[in-house]
This record gives sequence, structure tokens and C-alpha cells, in this order.
Amino acid sequence: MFIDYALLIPLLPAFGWLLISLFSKSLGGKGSAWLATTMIGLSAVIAIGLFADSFSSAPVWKADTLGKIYKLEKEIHKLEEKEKAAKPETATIEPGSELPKTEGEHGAEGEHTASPELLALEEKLEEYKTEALESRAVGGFPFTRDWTWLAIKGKAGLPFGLYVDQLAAIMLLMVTIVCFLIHLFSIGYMAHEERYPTFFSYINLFAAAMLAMVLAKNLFHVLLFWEIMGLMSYLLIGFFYKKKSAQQAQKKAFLTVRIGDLAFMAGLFWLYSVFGTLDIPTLLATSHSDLETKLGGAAFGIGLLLFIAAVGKSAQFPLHVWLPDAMEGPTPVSAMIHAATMVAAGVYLVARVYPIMDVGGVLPIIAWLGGFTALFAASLAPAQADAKKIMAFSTLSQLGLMFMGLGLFGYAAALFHLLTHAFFKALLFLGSGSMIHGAGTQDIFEMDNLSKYQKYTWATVLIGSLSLMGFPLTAGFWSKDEILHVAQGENPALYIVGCAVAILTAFYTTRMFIIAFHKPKQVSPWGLAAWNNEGEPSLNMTQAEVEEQKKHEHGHDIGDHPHESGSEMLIPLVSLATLATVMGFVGSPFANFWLQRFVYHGDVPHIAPLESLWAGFAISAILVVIGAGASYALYWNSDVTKARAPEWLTRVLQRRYYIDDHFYAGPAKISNDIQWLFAWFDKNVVDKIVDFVGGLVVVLGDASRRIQTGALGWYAGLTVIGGLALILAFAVAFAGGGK
Amino acid sequence: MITALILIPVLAAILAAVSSTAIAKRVAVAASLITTIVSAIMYFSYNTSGGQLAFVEKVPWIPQAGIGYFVGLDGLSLPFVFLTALLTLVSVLASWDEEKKSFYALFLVMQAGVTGVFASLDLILYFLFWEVVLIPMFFIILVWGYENRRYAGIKFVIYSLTGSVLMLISMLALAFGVASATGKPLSFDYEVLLANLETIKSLPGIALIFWGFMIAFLIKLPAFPVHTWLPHAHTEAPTGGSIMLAGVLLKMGGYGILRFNLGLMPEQMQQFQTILAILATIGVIYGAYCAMAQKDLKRMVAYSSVNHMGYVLLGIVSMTAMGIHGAVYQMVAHGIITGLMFMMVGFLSHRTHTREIAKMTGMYNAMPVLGAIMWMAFLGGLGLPGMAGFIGEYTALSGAIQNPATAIYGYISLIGIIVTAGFILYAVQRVLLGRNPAAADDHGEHGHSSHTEHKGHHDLSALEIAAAAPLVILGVVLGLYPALLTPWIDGSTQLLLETAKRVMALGGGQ
Repeated sequence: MFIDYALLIPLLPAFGWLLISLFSKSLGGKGSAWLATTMIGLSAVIAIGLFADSFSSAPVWKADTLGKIYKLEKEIHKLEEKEKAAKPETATIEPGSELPKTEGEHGAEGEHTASPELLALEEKLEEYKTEALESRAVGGFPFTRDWTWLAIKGKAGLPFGLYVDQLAAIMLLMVTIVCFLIHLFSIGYMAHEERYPTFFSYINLFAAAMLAMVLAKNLFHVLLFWEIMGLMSYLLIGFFYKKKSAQQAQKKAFLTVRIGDLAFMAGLFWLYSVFGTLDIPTLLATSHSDLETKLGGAAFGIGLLLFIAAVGKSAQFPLHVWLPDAMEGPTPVSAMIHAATMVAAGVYLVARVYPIMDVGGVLPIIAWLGGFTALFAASLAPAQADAKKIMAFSTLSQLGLMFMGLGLFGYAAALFHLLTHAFFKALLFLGSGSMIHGAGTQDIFEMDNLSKYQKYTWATVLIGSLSLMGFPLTAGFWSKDEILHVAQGENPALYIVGCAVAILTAFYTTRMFIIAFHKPKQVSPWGLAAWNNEGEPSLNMTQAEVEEQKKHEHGHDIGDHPHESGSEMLIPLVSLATLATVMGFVGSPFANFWLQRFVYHGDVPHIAPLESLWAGFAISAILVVIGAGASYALYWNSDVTKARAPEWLTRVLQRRYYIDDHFYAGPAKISNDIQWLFAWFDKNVVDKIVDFVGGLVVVLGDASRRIQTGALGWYAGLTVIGGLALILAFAVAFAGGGK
Repeated sequence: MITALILIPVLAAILAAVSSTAIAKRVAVAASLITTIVSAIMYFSYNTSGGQLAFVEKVPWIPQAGIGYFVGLDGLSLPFVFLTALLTLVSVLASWDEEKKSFYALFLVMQAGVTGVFASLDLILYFLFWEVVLIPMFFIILVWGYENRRYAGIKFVIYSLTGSVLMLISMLALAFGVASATGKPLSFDYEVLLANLETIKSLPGIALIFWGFMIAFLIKLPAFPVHTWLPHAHTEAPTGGSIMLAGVLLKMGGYGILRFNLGLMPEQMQQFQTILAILATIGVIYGAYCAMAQKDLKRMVAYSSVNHMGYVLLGIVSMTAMGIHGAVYQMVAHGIITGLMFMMVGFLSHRTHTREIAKMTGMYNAMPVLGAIMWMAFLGGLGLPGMAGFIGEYTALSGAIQNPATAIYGYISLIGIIVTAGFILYAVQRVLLGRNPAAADDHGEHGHSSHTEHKGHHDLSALEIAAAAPLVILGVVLGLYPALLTPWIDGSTQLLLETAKRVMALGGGQ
């Protein structure tokens, strides 16, 4: 029944935006802020209701049967391997299909020569599969609602609709709650900004666009709201619009993401021309084999294009360059972008069109690119001195893990991680906002023993950090371990990458935590180098500009003693800390992996039973201890300004492997220089030819010279004469040709 | 009804010409307001389901020559008739401080002419209205334009006349050809020609006739390589003139291609599809890059029209329902959004006394309302979802890609989107963002004396906001709720395509 009000979920914050835009003067600062917060709060209430509805209507799977299926599949897999080894001629099955999920079906179709032993096992598997479902979907789940929007006769057109399935329901829940808490936090955090109401109108619409995107039933509308979200992030990153660096960052963000958007558009065009519709339920309802025949080879192209769109939005390599710069926006905006909106949209898109990715064979690319980005970004984070930049790189890295999970058929694992990440990353960003607010600097080296002054912030950031590291029993632990577990089964190389990422994550998180909270204020060893990218003119900031930035971000009390933030900031922090912890358990063995059973892809969820996970848990814990321990050993007792990597390494890392400088500057310049060529061509070739031809018409030239000397009356006369002459000419022509 | 739409502005123009300036202004507003309301009523009373002609008026005029006063509207022309009336109203409001009454009279004459172009269904009548439009625009540029107005005005006229001559010859050739082939009396009636499509298809020299029409329309559109009049004319025209020029005059080209080239000669359209698609693609990318290189803000917006009209041409030549849909949608959207862009640029340069991008900065800070609307208009020009332009571009490109013959051009044209984003954001950053050197809240060290001319900028007046409001609202409404426009386009597009397909299928069978 909440589906009837689902349209309000994006409409309420959009309405908030409209009201604040129109009446910000009469609403005032606080009025606007509370209005925006109330709107998103109401959305959250509806989203919770909608989630409850989905929860009671969605199909339910039996955890124990799923566990049996998992074991059985393993057994079948092993047996098949053995038989394959025995019979080399059947080993020609393409290596890409070695996935436990489809292995059972594959084996049944492909190997007619299977041993009776194997066949018996498969029969049993089918049996389990039929009884795995405890209850079917009821009440018209997944929920849909339709309206006419853009209709073309005889064609599918683009009807507007809402579609709520498990994925959408859980995304809505996450986005509304996290956004609500960020709104709440901003009331206090942004209180000293001159464009306080504007800020709230923007973040309200930002949230609205994300929510509308999640609800959209048609991929075209996903694109539409996807781009509105891009616009809002553009406006918010450049919120301090008077600042050069913010302007550059917002432009960079918009253009980089737009490259992905182009791919999105191209992908949709292609999909529409081969599939005939962009309707999501239709796409999801089409069976694997039907999709294969309908899309054919195009599936790879479409999948790849849509993945590029996700790469742009979720800032994966090589379109990651905008995200660290996007830190120019106010801290709550960073929290929104990194946790609930922007970057989550990319993961959401890939999850939405998962069947295409699967059929097209794009998944291995997703897995490898995700794994690469995860490692790449995690290696950059330890060289940063800016708390927000460290967080930015950690987001890149965590998103990489999610994509790796998606690419390795860990659909549920990746979404689980998206969910937990949203909570703990929002917590960390708001926590670092509180740190920055209290300390008056973003440089962790300049923060003065914050643990002494900020007890609550310390505690909440600790929870967030532990979760980010994947410390046992925290939310990040459960979800990251799911992804690692999937990787272990699918792709050992990527499993090692994932382990390396885990170590690095633990390392840089601990480093940040120790230096910011437990070390006295000191001159930052990297000074301005940490703030800007030397050599990249667009981001150069002078000392004066840096000072100004600090003034802008914390207008009231620079250089004051560090202090704890007010309760309006602490309440969201504590709530997020609580939620971040609780959220972990919904997908943990304590809840029988409830989340993975709820959000699944394909016919039967793929859940590993607890017994097979202990080793993984232990390894995860060890990885965290290694990373955090190394960091502790390096920084806890020593002078942090001396405990540094070699100069060259620091430099390379701070300049992000020179990717921004070299690999992008060249093509960008070439593309940019085309304009001068074209403009020159237009002025000196195309137009000159036209002028030349025109000059040949001597009579007209004469006339024009005379016209220039004339007065208005003369013009009017000419008009009349011209008109008469024209009519006369026709009359003559008709008289001649009429009969 | 249509006659009233044409006559009201004409009568008002006469009234304006003989009265004082103060009255002329009010007459112009009243006349354009009435026609806006009347055309809106006609728009909503039109039965969209069949896509048939409505409001038809047919009076013999010169029967010996087969010329009649034949006007009528369908879903393809109604939006433009409404847009014409609305943009006239908006242009008059935006040019409120003009002190010559003839200025207002000319706008009204132009409105009558453009309405006539979209409504006439007799070729000669069409041509006459086409010429009527040219003259007031010429004078508006020549008398009220900026420094280079003479060059620009004459260039505009010569270009247009060249097209007109070719079009006239083609019209005559077409009508005479049909008359002699069928043995029926000469007729310029669109419906008569439509009934003889098979004859037209095999007329001798039909390809030349096709190109005669096409060149006239490509010039008007404008498409590469006959676009060079546009930057001059736009840059030099006064604000109101630019709004009309971009808003409706360019649409005469796209509408003409739909009505005559596609409507009467679909076979040739198919035949020359590739070359036209290539021209469209060049227009998209080349126009965007040229816009990027401009130092003059108004000129940049002018070149962006070349880019936007490229999508229109591409949508039409794809000859798919979606593509034509997109082309018409894009034309309407462009009329609204680019009209708004020109208006804002006009308001801005009126205050800063410069159009040079490099000389302006921090305008958002200085004038928040003007800045906000301009920002919005520019983002609309960039094809941002939520504004009308996005739906136009998307559907036009989607249509182009649906037809395998034009798919590749559709994909290439996507590049234009990112380039457009580049130059729009660049302009926004340079002109709107940053700190206004003269703003009161600024620190002393930035207030160089060279920027003192910025001082005392006043934000938009109530009248100026009133002029911009309809365009802002329509731009967003059509971006979020296309059902206000698509049913109108759809019915007539389907009819057009059915006819075209029927004729082309006959050709295949023979």
C-alpha cells in the first residue's frame, strides 16, 4: 500500500527545493534548513513503509536449504572437474562458465556423458531448489505504477513508471535515512554560510534526483534523473562558487561524469534499437536465453557502454579523477556524494542491468577494473594529508571492491557492501566534518590531539574507521568478507588483490586516526603540496587562497582551541554509528544472511553456510591486524613528521601517479584545440567563400550600398516596391503558364 | 481562426505605426497576448488522435494560376504557431525601452509572416509569407543592431534571397511538372500535390527540385556549410530580434524540410539521406567547437544554434517516427531555451555594455536573479535533463540510431553533447561564477579600477522577469512533462510517415 505514496518519496524533497528556491527570504535560514530536513525525513518514513511492504511481500528463501544447495553445488563442481580431467574431449567448455551458480544447469545441458553419480546429485539439487523457496511473492510484488509520459504510436515510447523490487526498496531505505541524517548534520555544520538556504534547496533536490532514479521503471528515466543528480553534484561541488579551485573542480566533475553519461545514452540507444523497450521489469523478466537471442553480440557492447556510465558516476579508473577534487564542496555534500547518492548510482545501475552484463560477458571486465581501482586508490590514500582526500580515495577503493564483487557474481555481496559502506562512509565524512569543524583545518597533521577535545567525535569516528577497515563484528567486516569470499571462489588473483586492499585500508585508516586524534599539532610535513596538485595549473592555489578557503569553510573561529561539535552534529553522528553497526548484522551469519537472501539475482540466491566461512573470517581479521598493526608501529610512538616514505614515492603518490598531469592533459588539449581550427576554418574558408560568391552579385552589392545611406521611409518604399514586383512577376508567370 | 491570427498582428502593426511610441508598445503587447491566447486555445482544442489538418480555410485567390488562400494547421505546425505568438510577446516585453514605434510594428509584421509560413498550405502563399518574414527582420537588424549591423543584415538578406529564389524555382517546376504530367489544371495546392505523390516521384529533374527546396531550408535552419549568416545576424541583431530569429525563424527551415522535402518527396529524402546525415553530424560537432572558440558571448550562443539544429536535421533525415518526433521537440525546445539564452545575454550586455566573455565575471554574485535564470538557460542549452532540450536531443538521436542507415551518424553526434557541455560550462564559469569585482561584500584588493563599469548593476526588473517567466516555465514543464507536446507531434508524424512509406513502397513494387 505504501507504493501508492512512493511517488512522494522523490516529490517531497523536490517540493522542498521549490519552496526554498521561491520563498527562502520569508523562510529564513533555519526555516529553510528544517523544511528541507523535514521533507527528506517524511520521504524516509514512506521509504521505511515501502520497505516493510516489500519485506512482507517479497519471496522468502530458506537459509538452511540454501546452505545445502551451496554445498551440493560445490560437490557437483568438484565431481565435474574430476570427470573433465578424466575425459579431455569434454574439457572444451569455455572457461568463462566455471561459475558455481550456472554450473549445475550447464552441466545438465552440456555433458550428456555425465556419470550417474553426477546426475543423481543434480537431481537432488533441483529438488532442493524447488523447496528452497519458503513463500512466493505476494501482493503484486515487485510493485509497479505507470503513467503516460512520452508515447509514440506503435512503439514502446517512454512511459513513466515506478518500479520497486528488493533492490529498489533497500536502496530507498538507505538513501533516505542517510540523506536525512546528513541534512540534520548540515543544519549545524553549515549554519555560518551565507548561502545557507540555497545549500539546503540543492541537497534536497540532489536527494530527490537520486530517489527518483532508484524508483524509475524505465531506463530512460534512470538516465534523466541520473543527469539531474550530476547537475546537483556540479552545483554543490562548486558551492563556494567564488573560489577558483571550486569552479575547476565542479567543471571537472561534470565533464568527466558526462563522458560516462554519453556512454549511457549510446548504450540506451543501442538497447532500444535491438530490444525495443527500455522497461526495466521487461528486461528483468526476460530469461537468460531469450535475452541472448534478442541481443546477440550487441549485449557486450550495450553492457560495456552502460558499465562505462557507471565508471564515470562511481569514479572508477580511468574516470576517477573528479572524485578527489570534488572535495571542494562542503563536507556534508562530500558525505552525500560518497555515501548515499552519486557514486552509489553507478553500482545501482550495474546491478539494475545485471542480466545484460551477464549475457554480454562484461562481468570479468567489471571485476578486473573494480579490483584494479580498489588497489590503485588504496595505494594513494596513505600519501594524503587532507582528511577528506583520504576519505575520497578510500571511497574509490571501496567502490572498486563493490564492482569487483558484482563482476564475480557476488551480486548480493556487492549490494551488502554498498549498504554498509553508505552508512559508515557517511559517518566517517560527517565525523571528519566534525573534526575539521573543531580543529579548523583539514590537514590531519595540523589537528591537535583531537581525542582530548572531541570525545563523541572520537568514538564515532573510531566506529566508522573500524568498519572501514573491516574489523571483526563491524558492518564493514561482514560485507567486505562476503566480497572476499566470493572472490576466493571465483578468481584467486582478484582475491589476492582484495586482501591487499584490505591491508592497505587498515593501514591508512589507522594512520589517519592516530595522527588526527592522538598526535599534537605540528607543521604539516607536506604543507601546501598536500592541498593542491602542483603542476596542474587548474588546481593551483596560492597561500592566500588556502587561507581564504579555511576562512570560508569555518568562518567563525579559525585558530581557536579545538572543541567538540554541538549536539545537532553529534546526534546524526551517533545515529549513523549505531546504524552502521546494526546494518552489518542484517547480512551476517547472526541473521542467517538475511540481506543476501532478500536482495538476490537469478533464480536461487547463492549463500554460503557459516561453516565454510570461518577460514575467511579469520583471514579477514588477520589482514586487518597486519595493516593496522603496521600503521600503529609506524606512527603511534614515533614523530609522525619523520616516519615517512621516501621522497620520490610520496611525490608520485601525491601526484596520483601523474595520471591527471600526463594521460589526460594531452587528449584534453588536442580536443580543446580543435575549436581554434574549426573557428578559423569557419571564418576564413566557409565564410570567405560565401562572401566571395556574394561579391559577384554586383547588382545586389550596389543596391546594398545605396540602402545603407537611406532612411526609414526609403526602406518602407522598397518593401512595397519589392512586394509589388514579386506579385507582378507571379502574375506574368501564371498568365504565361496557366492555360 | 488562422486568418485572425495573421490579421490581428497586421492590424496592430498598422495601428502601432500611426500612433505614438507609448501606444505602439501597448498595442504590440495586446496583439501578441491575444494571439498567444487564441493560438493556445487552438492548440488545446486540436484533436490529436488522427493528426489531421484542422482549422482549414480555403478560398480561391488566383484560380487561373491555381493559387488559393489555403491555410490549415496540424500537430506539426500548431506548436510553432503558438511559439511564434508567445515569442513575439516575450520579445516585445524584453525590448520595452525601445523608443521607435516602427520597431514594434515590424515585430508584429514579422509575427504575421511567420504564422503565415507555418499555416499556409498553398505553395505560392507559403512563399509570399516566407518573403514577408525576411523584410522586417532585415530592418530590425539594420536599424537597431550593433556595430556591424549593415554587413550582417545584408548578408542575412542575400543568403535568404538565394534560398528563396531556388525555392521559388522549385515550386514552379514542381507545380508545372505535376500539371503537365497529370493533364490537370495547374495547382499549387498542397493537398493536390500530396494526392499526386507518385507523379512527383518520377518527375524529370525531381532531384534538382528537391535540392532547390532543401538548400533554402538548410540556409534557414542553418546547416553546415550555409550557416555563416547566422553568427553575424545573431550577434548584430537587437535582443528581441535574436529571440525571434533563434526562436521561430530557424524553425521555418526545419518545418519546411518536414512539410515539403519529406512530405512531398520522401523518395529523394531517402536517396540523399546519407549526405544530409553527414551535414547534420558536421553541424553538431563543428557548431559546438566553433561555439567553444568564440570570445563574444552572443556569438557563442549563436553557434550553439548550429549545433542544436544539427540534431533536428539528423532526426528528420532518419525518417523514423522517433527521429521526427525528436526533431520537432528539439525545435520547440530550442525556441524556448535559446530564446531565453539570447534574452539573458541581451539583458546582461545591456548592463555591462560588453558581450565579451573575458570582460565579465562574477555576474551571478552581482545579479542573482539574472544570473540564476541565465545559468538555467545555459544548462538547458547544454541539454540538461529536466529541461525541454534533453528530450528533444535524446529522441532525435535515438531515432537516428533506430535507422541502421543513419545509426553511425547518431553515435558520432554524441560527441557534440560533451563539447557543448564544455563550452557552456566554460561560459558559465567565466561570466557567472567567481566574485564580482564591484560587489559590496568584496575585499578591497580585488576591486581594480578597470572594473568600475560593473558598479551599479541592477538586477532584473519586474518587467524583465515577466518577459523571462513564460520561457522558464515552459522550458521546465516541457522537460518534465512531454505529454503536453508529444501527442500533437505524434499524430501528424505518423500520418506523414505513413504517406511517405506508402509512396516509397510503390516505388519498390514497380
